[in-house]
Amino acid sequence: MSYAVDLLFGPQHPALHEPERFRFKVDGEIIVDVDVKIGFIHRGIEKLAESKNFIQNIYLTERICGICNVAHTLCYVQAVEDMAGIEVPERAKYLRVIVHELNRIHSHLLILGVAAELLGWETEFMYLWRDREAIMDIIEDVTGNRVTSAFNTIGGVRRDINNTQKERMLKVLDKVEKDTRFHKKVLEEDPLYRERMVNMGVLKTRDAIERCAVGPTARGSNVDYDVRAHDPYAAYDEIPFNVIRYKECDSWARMMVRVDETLESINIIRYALKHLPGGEIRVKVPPRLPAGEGLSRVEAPRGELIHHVFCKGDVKPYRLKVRTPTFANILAIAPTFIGHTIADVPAILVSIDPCFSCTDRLTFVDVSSGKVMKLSLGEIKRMYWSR
Amino acid sequence: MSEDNFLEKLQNCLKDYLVDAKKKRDRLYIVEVKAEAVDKVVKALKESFGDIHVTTISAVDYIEYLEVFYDLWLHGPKVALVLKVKVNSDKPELPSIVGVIPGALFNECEVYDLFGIIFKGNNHLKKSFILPEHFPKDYFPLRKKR
Repeated sequence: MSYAVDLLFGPQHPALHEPERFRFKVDGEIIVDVDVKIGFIHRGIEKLAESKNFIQNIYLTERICGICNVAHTLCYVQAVEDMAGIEVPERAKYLRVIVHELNRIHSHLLILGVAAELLGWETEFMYLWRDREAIMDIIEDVTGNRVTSAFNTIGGVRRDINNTQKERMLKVLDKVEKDTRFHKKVLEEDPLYRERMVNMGVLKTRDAIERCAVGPTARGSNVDYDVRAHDPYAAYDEIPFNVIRYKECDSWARMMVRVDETLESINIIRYALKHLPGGEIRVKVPPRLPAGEGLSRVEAPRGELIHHVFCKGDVKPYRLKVRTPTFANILAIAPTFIGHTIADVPAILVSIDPCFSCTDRLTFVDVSSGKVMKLSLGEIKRMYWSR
Repeated sequence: MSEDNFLEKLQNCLKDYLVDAKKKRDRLYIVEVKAEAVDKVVKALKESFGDIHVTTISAVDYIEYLEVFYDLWLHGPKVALVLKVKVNSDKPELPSIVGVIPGALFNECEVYDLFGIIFKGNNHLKKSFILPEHFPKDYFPLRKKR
């Protein structure tokens, strides 16, 4: 007779870089059921956005997720532009694509490194992160900051790039391409990596569509859905590129989608730099915007991201809805743990590139003993900061 | 399947439930339907246009009523659809679409947690889905007033 035992994985766990709780029912070593609890880092950003003006919200949405910050600002400003009918200059659209793709490259190299580390392969982790550092340097060169770049703004972008920066970028991209090709060969051929990743967490194409998976998780299951190709935004309708898909449907396929997308992103940036149009980089936008609603979806590094904004003719949005990719992918991936052993959990989880800070965002009200409190910053300082 | 005559096809497909339908821009349509038939609408869309991807479900509180919107992506014609329904603020209830699209589960749970809208047929609705466990059970933070 066998008994299923509850095994708590998280909220704090070495394989989770952010807090989230998985309750696995295990029979010996084998997982027979899984229950997910999200919401441990819920910061109330959607509620907070209703009290800030449109410009302040760029910086707020940027902080939903540090890694895909460019995707968040791009999606938010596009939603506001859609709402107000603002036409962005051509040069700004190309510059947005360049920074968005740099962001994707650094995010993909980051998770490939994290995956290697979780499988105990620290050498590959170090090499991948070393190569990623070159991309961080270009992001700093172009935007002025390594992580939260605040590059996009309503009506265009905040900085232009000159020829010297362009040449520096091309030089670094050549090197990153060479390195990524090397990593691709290693990850394709290394027997240990394949042993840990191949046939892990198989998400069949039909299941991926039904459970609404997005991004590399869906494309690793051979779903033909990439927002850049199917609902093009910024300058993607003028840039040729391939949608990467793998038929294997397992953890290994999801990681290889990221490797190939990194190479594809490098080509997109090269094309955008070569065909960069001249002219203005932003148009002026009044602080008070007309009533209406705007919707924008972009392909963030982890998948489809949506910002839906509603305004009643004010300086602030009436409602801002954000749906981040991990929120969609957690539901899709949860049943794929079943049948695998406890030791395989990190290999499956890392393959969706989970980002829980993105997932938990929604309420702002602080609660103490069942009573709702709304505190100003001054009050919080007085109550909780000891001098 | 292409986007040609999509609006016409959409109107034919949903004629019993439709309140209003318009094209916002290329590949984006906004459709308002009757609240009590939202599950039938999604089913009809799936039968006519193929697989549906639910990007998100959420709501806006206009005080007099709640407007629930479903941001969908239709894999067949490759267009985005915003499905809107109006719900009574005092007794917010909607049929669940989880039976048609399993991927909508988390979205419905989130809307229930934050707006208190009950999706009939979804057995997983519970408070503290995304909010802290000690959060008051009768308080829905994204409503404009209690």
